[in-house]
Amino acid sequence: MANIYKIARLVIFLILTSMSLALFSYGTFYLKLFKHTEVRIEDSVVARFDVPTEYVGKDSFWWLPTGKSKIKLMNFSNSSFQGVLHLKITNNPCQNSKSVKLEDRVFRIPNEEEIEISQNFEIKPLGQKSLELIIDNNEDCLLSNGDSRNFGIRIDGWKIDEH
Amino acid sequence: MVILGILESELTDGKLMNIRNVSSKSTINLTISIGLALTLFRLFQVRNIEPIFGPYDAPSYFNFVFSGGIRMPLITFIFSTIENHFAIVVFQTFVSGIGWILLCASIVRLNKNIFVNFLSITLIYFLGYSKQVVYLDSGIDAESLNISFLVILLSALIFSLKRSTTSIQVFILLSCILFAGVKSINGVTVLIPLMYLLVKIWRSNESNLITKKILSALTILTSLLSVYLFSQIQNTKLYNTSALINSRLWDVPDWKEYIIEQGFPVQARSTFLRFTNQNLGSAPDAAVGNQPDYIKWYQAGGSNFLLKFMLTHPGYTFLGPVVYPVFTKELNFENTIWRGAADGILYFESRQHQLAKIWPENYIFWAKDRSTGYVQVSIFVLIIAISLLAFRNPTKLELSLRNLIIFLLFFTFSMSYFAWWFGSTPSDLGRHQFPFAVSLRVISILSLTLLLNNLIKLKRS
Repeated sequence: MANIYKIARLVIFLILTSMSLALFSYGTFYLKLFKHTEVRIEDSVVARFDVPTEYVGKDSFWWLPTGKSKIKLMNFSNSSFQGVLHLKITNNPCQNSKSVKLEDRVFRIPNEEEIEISQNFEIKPLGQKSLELIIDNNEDCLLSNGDSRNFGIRIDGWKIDEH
Repeated sequence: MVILGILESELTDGKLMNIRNVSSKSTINLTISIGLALTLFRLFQVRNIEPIFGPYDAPSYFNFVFSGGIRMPLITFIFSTIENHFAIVVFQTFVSGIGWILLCASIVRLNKNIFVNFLSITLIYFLGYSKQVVYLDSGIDAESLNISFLVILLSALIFSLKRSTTSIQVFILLSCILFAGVKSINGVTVLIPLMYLLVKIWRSNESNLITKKILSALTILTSLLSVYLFSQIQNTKLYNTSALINSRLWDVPDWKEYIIEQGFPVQARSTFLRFTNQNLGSAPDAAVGNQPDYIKWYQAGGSNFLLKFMLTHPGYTFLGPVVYPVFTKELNFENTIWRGAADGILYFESRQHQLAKIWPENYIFWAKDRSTGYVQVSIFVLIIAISLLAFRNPTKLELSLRNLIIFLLFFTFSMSYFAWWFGSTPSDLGRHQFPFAVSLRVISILSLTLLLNNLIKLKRS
């Protein structure tokens, strides 16, 4: 009886130790070192702009004013990510935006054409990150319809995927 | 009063009030004082918080039905008696405070060394007052009382290690009743500690035959009643079956084939995907649950599908909860009970609640990121494993403690497996596995005290 008990205890010890090793390797190597994640970045990280969302039908867009804007990235999951933010942008109604600087990269803005700009980022679990965006216009773009905004660029859509 | 009586009788059990007893008494007094101070602080913190009242789930807790409702009778009795939401939060906070004091006192009683005692008190209160546990108090649901009654049950079992008096046996029985009365799944898992109690009653030398017979009869009655009440619960089996098929079983080709062979309507799968990909005003499993072809399949035998699947797929049944990745192409522990143990119950949304915001983080027991969470759990499991190794000349108490650790492991994993087999969809896994997560941490603290006591003994010899 004592021997059976000893063997049972040893079996439990071996099962627990193997499970512990498996979990340790999984958390340390697979997830942390090799940067795998259990959740998809697309389902976990979102971008928020510091201007209101506007709509044409079901399509949303954001008008960013000339000068400095912030894009806030929010991670809803408790996994860290290395991702890429893609923004589809078009010039302002005056077609006078020259360039846009997203963090440390500068993109030239063509007239009447949609382009995609992107920026790599790293975000911590449940963390937030602010990306700086600076729009450089030749001159002000003020419309005569009573809207007092100095238009910079229009963001037609955004997408986040893994780096 | 029963609890205070137990503590009192343990301290002045008529043997000798020698120095060790005095020091043990002062340690327990210290434990209770710290616990009461922390409980008061916790009550002070909840004074202004808004109780979380889920519009779909919470109302059912106020509808007291002894048998045949959708909740267990004890929880509905408590909530419908108190009625006021804020008073429920205060009650939950108070019960939780008492639970952690009892657990702490029960572990402290096992130790002789002041350092181990200090460490045990610190660790238990760190766990009991961690954000994950404290946050539960704010919810109008069964989660807070479930954890509190589990903790009280664990403390009762630990109390029974040193002496198995009638009052301690009654304490175990009462805590089993409390634990079984809050959640339907507990109605089944409580059978494990009840069987343990039955063995304790008949192996004890401290009570007479009549007392043994009465206690045994009450234990058997409690077992039968809890299983009966569990079987009468109109639970969400209809929704859970579709949720588990769609979110867990469908991804493995062999299992998918089996599901289709069993006549599961493929349209139900499309509905699940449609409602998952877009917010169409209903939860995906509820959308499937309301679909006529699914209901028809369910009524024609689908209600037993999960059980049948488990019987025909023993690999899934026994290995699935812990090593699910062996069945899938992806190396991913997200669907296992380990994720529940690593993650806990707090998600981004719940972290926005007042109570979660004001309460400090506790990274000793709950890592902020998931990968560290797995590493943490691996350490807890390793501590438990090492404590099971043989020690030189173990005392009777050490042997009993080691046996209790094995028993608690069995109880904890059974609790977790049951929840995983019949619930624990990816979105609900944290909540379903939270008792497992807490219990595993408590067992690892217990194991650590056993290890440290042995190390100290080895050093001295």
